Order: sequence, then C-alpha cells, then structure tokens
Amino acid sequence: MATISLDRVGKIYPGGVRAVEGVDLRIAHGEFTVLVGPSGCGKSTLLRMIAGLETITEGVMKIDDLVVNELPPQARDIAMVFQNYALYPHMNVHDNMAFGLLRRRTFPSRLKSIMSSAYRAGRRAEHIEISNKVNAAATTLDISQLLGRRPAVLSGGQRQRVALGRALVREPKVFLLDEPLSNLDAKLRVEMRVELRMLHRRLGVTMVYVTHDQEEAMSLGDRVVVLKDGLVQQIAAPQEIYSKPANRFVASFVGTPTMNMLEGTLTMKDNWATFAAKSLQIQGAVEAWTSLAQSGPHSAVLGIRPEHVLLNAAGGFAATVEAVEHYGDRMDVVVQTSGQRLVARCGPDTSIQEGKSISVAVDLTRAHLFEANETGMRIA
Amino acid sequence: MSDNTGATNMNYDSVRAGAVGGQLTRTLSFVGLVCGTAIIMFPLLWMVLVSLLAPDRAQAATVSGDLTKLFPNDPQWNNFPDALSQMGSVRWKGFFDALANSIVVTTLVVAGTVLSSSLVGFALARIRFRGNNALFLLMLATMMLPGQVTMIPLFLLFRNLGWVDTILPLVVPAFFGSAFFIFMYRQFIAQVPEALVEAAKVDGWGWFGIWWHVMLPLCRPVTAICAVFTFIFTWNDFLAPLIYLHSDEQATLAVALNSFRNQYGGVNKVNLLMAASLVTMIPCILLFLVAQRQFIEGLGKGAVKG
Repeated sequence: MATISLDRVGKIYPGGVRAVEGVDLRIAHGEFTVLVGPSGCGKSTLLRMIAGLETITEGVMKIDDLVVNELPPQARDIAMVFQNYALYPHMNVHDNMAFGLLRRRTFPSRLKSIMSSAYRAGRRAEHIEISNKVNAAATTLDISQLLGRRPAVLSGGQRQRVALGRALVREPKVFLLDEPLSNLDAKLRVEMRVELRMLHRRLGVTMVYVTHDQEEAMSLGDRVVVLKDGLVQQIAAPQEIYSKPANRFVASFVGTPTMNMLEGTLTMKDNWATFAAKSLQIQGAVEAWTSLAQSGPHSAVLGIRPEHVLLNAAGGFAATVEAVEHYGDRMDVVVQTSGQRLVARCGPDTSIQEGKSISVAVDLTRAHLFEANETGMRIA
Repeated sequence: MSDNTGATNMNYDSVRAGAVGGQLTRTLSFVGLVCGTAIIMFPLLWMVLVSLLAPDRAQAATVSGDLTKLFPNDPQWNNFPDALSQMGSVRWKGFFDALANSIVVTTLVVAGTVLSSSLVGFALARIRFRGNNALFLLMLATMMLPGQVTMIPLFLLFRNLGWVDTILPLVVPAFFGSAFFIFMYRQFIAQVPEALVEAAKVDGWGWFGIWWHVMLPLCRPVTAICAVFTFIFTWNDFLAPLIYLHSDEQATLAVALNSFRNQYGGVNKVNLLMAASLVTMIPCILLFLVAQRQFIEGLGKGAVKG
C-alpha cells in the first residue's frame, strides 16, 4: 500500500503540446481512484507519468513521500495493466505472471548454480516460491487451468485476468490500470467491474484506474478525477460528482442520458425562482438559491438531470413527445416545448406515445445552476 | 429462353478457352522451371560426377573437354577418403584441423552476428536518444562500401594488433554487428508493440533484460534468417581466411581446399578436389534443406527491404 501525491504536475511534449497541466492530487493508502475524461484529455498520460513511462516536465510527484520524478518504472514498485494487456506472446501464462518476480531473484545466475550446490539449492527454493505465488494469484483470479497456455489461445476475458494476475503476483505498492476493460464485450465488462471492485476490497491496495467510460468510473472509484484538455475539472466521490458537478463539462460528461442544459435568465424573488429560456418559463421555490436574489436577474445555464424532468405532472407546461426509448424497466422520453428539447427518464408508462402532447414539470430544487460563460462554473 | 442458352454456350466456350490457356501457361512455366533447375543444378551434377571419376578419366573430362568421359563407368568411392586425407601436409590432420577451424569460426561468427545485430537493432528501434536516426543512416551508409575498399586498411589494423594468423580478424568484427542484419532487426523490432517493452519495464527489467527475455525470443524469424545466411557465408568464405590465416593449422575448409592447386594455379587432382568440395558443402546443403523456408523468406525480405 502506498500514498501518491501530485503537486502541480504537468506534461509538455517536445513539440510544445501540453498534455497535462497543474494537477494537484493526493491518493490515500488503499484508495481506488479513477481518472476519467474524453479522448485526449490527458488521463492516460497522467497514469503513465505515475508509472514512470512518461517524463514529468512540471511539478513534483511522490509515492510514499519519495519524490519519483526521475525514477524509472523499475524503481517505483508499481504494477500496470495495459489496455491491450501487453502479455508476452512467447511465454505461457505462468511465465508471463512470473516474469516480474524473476527480476527480483536473489539467485539469478544459472552459471553460478552449476558451480555451487548451495547456490543451486537457493535458486531451486526461489523457483518454488515464485511458482507458489503464481499459483496463488491464479487461484484468486480463477485462471489456474490456463497456466500452461500461451496468450494467443486465450479469450479477451482470460487475457484480462492474466494481465491482472501479472500485476497481482508482484504485490506492488500501487496498481495502475489503463482502460483494462475497454476491449471486453459489454456483459463481461460489467462482470469484471464487480470482480475488480471485490479484488480491491480484498487486497486493500492503492489503485489508479483510467477509463473514458463515466459509468465505469462511477461504479468503481472511491474517488473520481474528471479531466478535460489536461486540466482537472473535479475530484470528488462519485455521488458528489453526480449530484454537485463543479461545472457544465462535468455535469454533462457524467450521467446517462446527458443532463439537460437550458441557457436563459434567472430572476429570484426571495426564494421564488423564475428561469426564462426563450419562451419557456420554469418557476418554483428554491431555498438554496435565495442568496442569488440580491444580484438581480442574470444569465445562467440551468442543468436538469433527466430523472428530475417530471412527465404527466400537475401544474406543468405543455410539450410534445418527440421520441421514446424503452429499456424494459425504464424509458427515456424526448420532449419538445417552446423551442427547447428536454430528455426525461421515467418508469415504464404505456400512455406516453410519440407525437402526443404531455404535461412536463421540472423539479427545480434538484436542478443545477451554472455560469453562462465558457468556464461554466457551478453557481448553485 | 434461346437467348439464355446462347449466353450459356458462350460462357462455356470462354471458360473452356480460359482453361486451355491456363493449362498452356502452366505447361510453359513448368518447362521453363525445369530448364532453369537443370541449368542451376548442372555444376553440382558435374561436381558429383567428377568426384567419382578415376584420375585419367577426370583429366580427360575436364582439361581435354571430352564430355563422354564425364560419366563414371566405375565409380571411385575411394576418392572421398583419399581427398580428405590428402588435405594439408599431414595425412588426415589437415582435414580435421580445417574442419575444427571452420566449425569454431562459423559458430562464433553466427553467435556474434545474431547477438550484436539484434542488440543494436533493438537500441535503434526502441531507445530514444539524440542522434538515433543519424547513427542509423550512418550505419546504412556503410552498406554502400564494397568490401574491397576496407580490405587493406583492415589488414593493416589487424596486423598492427598482432592478430594475423589467428581467427580473431574473422570472428571479432562479427561481434560489432552486420549493417544488413541490424537493419532487418530494427525494422522487425519497430513493429513489436511498444506496450510489451513498457510492460517489461514496469515488471522491473532494464534494457538488457528486455532485449534478452522479450525481444530476442520475439525476433526468432529474423534470427533464423540471420543465422542461416551468416552460417552459409562464413562457412563458404574463402577470401577473408585466405588473407588472415597463413599457416596450415589455422586454415578453414575453404582455404584447405586450395591445397589441391599446384604452384602454377592449375589443379592436379580435379576428382579429389571435387570430392573434398562436395564434403565441405554438406553442412550448407543440410542447413538449406532444414531452413529452406526461412532462407527463401529471407531472400524475399532482403529484396523488399534491402
């Protein structure tokens, strides 16, 4: 187990391209941290910087209070699971898993073992110990039956387990996982997600996980770091990321379907809020926004999660149903009103049909308010 | 209906014409290949026939050009032990010395070339350092230099080092890599996924460990080509051993064969020379048969990438 601390860490490539900028992050012992963001946001670069596979051009990185900026991967005591697994194709599963341990042998020389019987005995004992560790890891991951096979004959899920086993067997301080589930099919991905979570709980090790899949990030992480264009947007627990997104980007990146965003003007009168977006007016009492009344009407972006858009609600405004997507246990409904399009999520309801008129209300107490400028920071 | 039938007939005729054309092409190419094979194989056949002739018949067939004498009516199998025992000044010793020297030189040169070329190819393909590309281009440029240009400077260098009449001038350069094989290794290693190198780094291995445990086993196809080509070239090499090895004890098989020539450059016992030559060719022929696929693939690769 280990702590990782990043202090104003950045990365500028030789061509001048800035991949990561001023990242401040503290990862505690045994914490499962997920780096998430769209393609090109710098999440994999940041992970590779922790691994030592990319140089750090700015800031200070520490693992267990030791500055590791200049340390090669070999000296960092980390293990990494790669997106494409990176299993050695010429070795069988056992040798793939044992490869990292072979490097740490006290009796590495075959030549010396020929000349000294004591050395030979030590070497043999070490081999047995390595095999025991590999077998134990294989049992944990349920891949004992695969130990003699080459990676080429394994399925994607099996390769994934072997890659995890290779990391596991070394008992490193830190586990780094770079989109390890992205090559698996949807069903297997969900299964492996649960297994990863259980594995983390069982081992209690520090894990840093990279994904572009916000659902994966939310379900796995103790804390989630959302990145965009090399900048950290928010670091928080999954629930907080969802319920209190720091800005418009985080709000729209996290959650499926995406949060509804309405640009308009907010006018507060005591606790009574009136949000006007084009010809659409949404009103309601919001205690939390009372303090905004002093500053008068101002431009803002109203964010409403689809589950907080209420259909067939009393006192709502009229809208037309544009599309309905059925998922069995729930349905997503796209409605159009006053030139604005909203997505609502609700339970299965056969009365809602495409092309029909429907009454729509918004639960303003659970809505989010963001600045209307480019940064789109959260107001309330 | 009738139109359809007509179309079908036409198709059938064109298919039949095509089949006949294809058969003709196949026959012609077959005849061409047989002729080519006969031309290529003729010297080998000539060697085998001459190696089985009695001395007077061999002389008539080769020097006087009487081809009717080329076919042995009484094969002289004794030519083989006679030829081998007469190599060098001491009976049998010359052959065994030369055989041992050839084996030692070839083994060391093959090992040296494979190890050094793969190591340098790996470094050029994977390690990012200033001047990497310039060094690679410089190395490629050395391939343009004919061997004759460096022959005399190299001889002077090795003479000053006191290496003349030892196997060192033949063996040591191999441990500094061969430009062509370095090029082949570099191209091959550049296609190996970077993630494998990174995984090995994370597993705790340094550059040498990655080269030895990961890259070298993955480069087996290139290594096979490199080993086969180097073996055949070194085993058959005549010029370098002739320049650097002067005493009978140091001679390799290719040089030892030269003892069948007389002081005027002619050949005294052509039948024995052919018998001895055939025996020295055996390892190459066996190796070619075993590694035929790699050998031909290697020629193809050389043609494309060289």
